[in-house]
Amino acid sequence: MLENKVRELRARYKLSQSDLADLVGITRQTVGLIEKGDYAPSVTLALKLAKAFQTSVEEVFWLSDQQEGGKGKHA
Amino acid sequence: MLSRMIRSPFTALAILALTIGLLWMHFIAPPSLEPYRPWVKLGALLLITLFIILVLIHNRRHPHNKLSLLSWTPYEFKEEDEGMKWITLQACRKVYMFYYFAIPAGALLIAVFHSYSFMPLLMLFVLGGCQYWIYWREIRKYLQQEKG
Repeated sequence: MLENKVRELRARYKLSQSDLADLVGITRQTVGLIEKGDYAPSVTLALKLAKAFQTSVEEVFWLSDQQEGGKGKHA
Repeated sequence: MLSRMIRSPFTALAILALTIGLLWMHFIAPPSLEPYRPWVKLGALLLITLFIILVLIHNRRHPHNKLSLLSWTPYEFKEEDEGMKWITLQACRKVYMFYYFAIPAGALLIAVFHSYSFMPLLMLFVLGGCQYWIYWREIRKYLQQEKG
């Protein structure tokens, strides 16, 4: 399963879900889905999110140990 | 609020019910209901006019997010970005799985109860109603999770 720390980074930057959504050009609902781990974003969106947090994609998203090397839930 | 109302699966269900009701009234209803036919047609016309007015008001309020009156895309699809497209995909998948079993079952029921003239219309209404209900439940599931 794809893990992420979007919520944590968003809190660090004091951004609301709507702020982050506006910054990246997506809906607030999609930010919520990604934070919950329900939706694995596309590479493009993952790059945009990483850019918004001024970090690398690997710092924001990673595979959980049991799924690494296998097929993810939404991959 | 206006957008939610127009794009609600319940609005789509109401349009389906209206269509089925008009067909029933025109082709199947007993002759004793004949005097009510013009009133039913007038009611349907008023509801359709109201729907068109609501869409026009919505388009005036949201010039960058207009809803087309003549579109192949159902109003209830809210595919504004990839996350919303994914939710729509999940909901449509569930609806497809429903029809996979419901169409043969519906055909069987129509064949068994072929003596009832209203059966095909009733079956269309039930299938359509289930479709909108499944779609709405799936969308709601993800959007409620997202709020929590």
